[in-house]
Amino acid sequence: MEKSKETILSRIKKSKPESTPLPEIPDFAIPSSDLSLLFAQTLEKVGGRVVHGLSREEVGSAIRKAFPEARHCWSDTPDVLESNVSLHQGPHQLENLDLAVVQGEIGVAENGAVWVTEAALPQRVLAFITLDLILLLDKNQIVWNMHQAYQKIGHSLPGFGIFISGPSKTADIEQSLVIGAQGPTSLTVFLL
Amino acid sequence: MIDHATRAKRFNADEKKVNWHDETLWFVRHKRDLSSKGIPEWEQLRELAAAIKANVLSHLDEYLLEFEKNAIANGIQVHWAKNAEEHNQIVHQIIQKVKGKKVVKSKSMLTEECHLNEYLEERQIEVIDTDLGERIIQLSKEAPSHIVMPAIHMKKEEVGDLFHEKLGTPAGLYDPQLLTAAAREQLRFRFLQADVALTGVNFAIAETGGFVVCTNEGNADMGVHLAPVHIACMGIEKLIPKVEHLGVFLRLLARSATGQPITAYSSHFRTPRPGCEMHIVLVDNGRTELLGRPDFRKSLNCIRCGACMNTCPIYRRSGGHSYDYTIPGPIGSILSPNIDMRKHSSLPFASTLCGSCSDVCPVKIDIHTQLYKWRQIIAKEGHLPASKRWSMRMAGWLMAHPTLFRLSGKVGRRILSILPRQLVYGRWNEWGKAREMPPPPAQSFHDWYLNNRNNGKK
Amino acid sequence: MMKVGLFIPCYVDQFYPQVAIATLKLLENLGVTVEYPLQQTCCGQPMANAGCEEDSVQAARLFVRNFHHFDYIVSPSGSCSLHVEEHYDVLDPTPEVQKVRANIYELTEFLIDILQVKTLDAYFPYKVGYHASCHGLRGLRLGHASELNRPDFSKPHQLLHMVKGIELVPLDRPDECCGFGGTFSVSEEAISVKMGKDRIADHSRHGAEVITAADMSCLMHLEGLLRRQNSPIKVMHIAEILNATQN
Repeated sequence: MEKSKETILSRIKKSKPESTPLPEIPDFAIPSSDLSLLFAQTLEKVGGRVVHGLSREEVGSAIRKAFPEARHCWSDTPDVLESNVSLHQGPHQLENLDLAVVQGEIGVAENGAVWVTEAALPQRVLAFITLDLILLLDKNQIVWNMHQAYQKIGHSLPGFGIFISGPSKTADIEQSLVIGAQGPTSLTVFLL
Repeated sequence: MIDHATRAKRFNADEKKVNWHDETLWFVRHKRDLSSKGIPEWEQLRELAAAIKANVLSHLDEYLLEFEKNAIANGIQVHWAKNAEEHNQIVHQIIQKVKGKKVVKSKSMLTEECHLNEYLEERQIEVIDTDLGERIIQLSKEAPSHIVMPAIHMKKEEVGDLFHEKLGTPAGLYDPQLLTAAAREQLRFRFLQADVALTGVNFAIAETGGFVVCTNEGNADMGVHLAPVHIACMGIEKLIPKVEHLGVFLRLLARSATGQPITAYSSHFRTPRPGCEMHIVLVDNGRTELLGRPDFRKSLNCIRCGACMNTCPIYRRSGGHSYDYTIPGPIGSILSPNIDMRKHSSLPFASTLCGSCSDVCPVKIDIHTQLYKWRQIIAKEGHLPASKRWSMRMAGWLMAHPTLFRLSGKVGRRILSILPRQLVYGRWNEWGKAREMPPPPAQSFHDWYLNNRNNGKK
Repeated sequence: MMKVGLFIPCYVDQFYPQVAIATLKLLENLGVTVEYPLQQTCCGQPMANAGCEEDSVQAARLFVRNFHHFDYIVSPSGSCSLHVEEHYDVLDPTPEVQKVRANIYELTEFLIDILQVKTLDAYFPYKVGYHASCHGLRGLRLGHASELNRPDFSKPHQLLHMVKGIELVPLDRPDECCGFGGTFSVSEEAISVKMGKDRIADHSRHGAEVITAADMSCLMHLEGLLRRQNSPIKVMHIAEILNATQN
């Protein structure tokens, strides 16, 4: 509806207020304590689990121990966990995925969020359709706040990227919190 | 025409439920307080957010063009809709083109505003709302009563009975955990079947041509990463200039809405999946008109967090449906007169002008000031009840005549003190239904002053 | 010497003369010479808040005529003071109008900011709940509202803490609206009453014997409910407490 575009734009031109400048976002104070500790505290408050102090090899056995029932697993880091599902037949094939192990890029301590991009999600739905989600995160990649996170991400966003903070949840019935609404029923972050 | 007061009174017939509604939402406000007070720069973030939004409004046409250019370069198809009707047509055409029959939708207040579900359903397209709260009210054939917690007006027993009837859960199952699990199972199936996934947009970024959608349930992502077609619908005011501005808004949004530090999922979309389609519908539907009202354009700052509802003492005690508008509460009361002033003329009066909404608002909309200003316009346009209009005219006249004011005060107090009780508290006396009138003193302060100060001069 | 004019809201003049008397005596006891212009009526707020600003213009003009020659205008009402300050843009901005808008002070604001009161000779041995009236709190910023991320601060509390024998009770919701709201109290009767009942319950739960505020309109609404409920809880304007003495 090309005409609508012109109509909308001309209405805006006619109605918009005088130009005001964009503000500078200042550098806000950053806590001096250990950011990975703060990250873990926040993530646990929003229903996630944080495991640290393990080597890559130990992470693999920790995962198998924590999810002994998981039959359909996907991982792009074979040294941590072997994949046994194929992604070639499209996202719908992942219907019964039990476990996904995904590499996160940045952790944000103020809200327990992990930045994950499609570089680590060859099917975007992986991180949502799986029953349980595991994120691996380099603890040196944890920043305090969202401003720092976006500074690290830069101006060019990936085709798909997401901040994940905890498992899927809802409180839509009487405000009582239920973990595992439409997405994963648990989130575990391994800090490496 | 039924006004807010009438519907609010109905909601108040069940005091226990009102108390529950009030306390539940007050608790959300309390969580928001704790969360916001954990951020030392909170007030500064609000200033920044308001300043960014002011800049956006002053360059909206340029940002929209920049956004469109970048979105197209990303492989997104961009559509423009003047109004709700066009928006619905566009969405329908996209669905028809791919021969879609089944649509899953995550929460979008814009599609509610445009009444998209009804439009599509009339055209034999099945629309399933996938946010649990939205799904509940879709099943009960109601409108959302809150923009963040759409089914907050319902008790778990009501949800349980509804699910029993519509989803076949066991009778008497009222546990939120189990009810949610039942909905999850059913929705899983819907996600896998869907031809098209619809979402709203929380923020669209001009410099990247991408957009961000925030959910807690992960339902938006479940929909769009499975279906081959993603349609995202947004009001033109959802634009922000740069990626760095997301930092400000994502810090404010969830903390204001529920007290969470961020939603569980903040999804950043820039390109469609390989082989798939992604569409954006840019919708005006009254927004440019609002932009042209200097006293009211700031309401376009709104990021739909719902904090003004949770804090509003009237909303908490009258329920979202009492507003009879897609967006209820204080923000709805300043947005709705722009859409239909006559229909919504009682909403700006559903407030004591206490100002809590303006102080809680993360983007610093002067909500209570706008309520006051809408009142003036509504009165000028002749939408006040005649009794109110005339009593104000009389009061204004009386207050301009000091001698008459004092005389009528004296007579009034005298009458009040000698009239039999049943006459004072007659049916006309709204004040006196639950409240005593102030006891009339023998003399006014003016009289006292003349006798005790002023050296007896009159 | 500064010239101080006393503005007494219309309904206080008619129904609560004791509040006006307490305000006057409090100021006099602090050494202020106060004049009460005899031709005053109303600030115009009731009409304006009901959407009828044009019907408030005559009252506003009268207000300016009565008060423009004072250095300070003091009123025991946050709501009326805010109205003069914020909404007298209905009048042409003459020097008189601008002066009145700049010089209007709510009582506690005047005591703290202008008189810089540090001690009071007041005695009030009761449990008191303070109701933070909205227009004073969020309009005049007599204190920091609970929505804001600002340190605790309140001019009325500063003054109440100077009163000997008083015990201020905490509240679950320290600054929720009482539901008066001018014509709202009758046009939205059900919600107004419910809000008032809930406020009273909060004070009552915390053992308040007296509810006080810097605005009598809120208290008139709460008093109406309390008396209907035959509650022993009394309402008193803050001026009455600040002016209460041992005898």
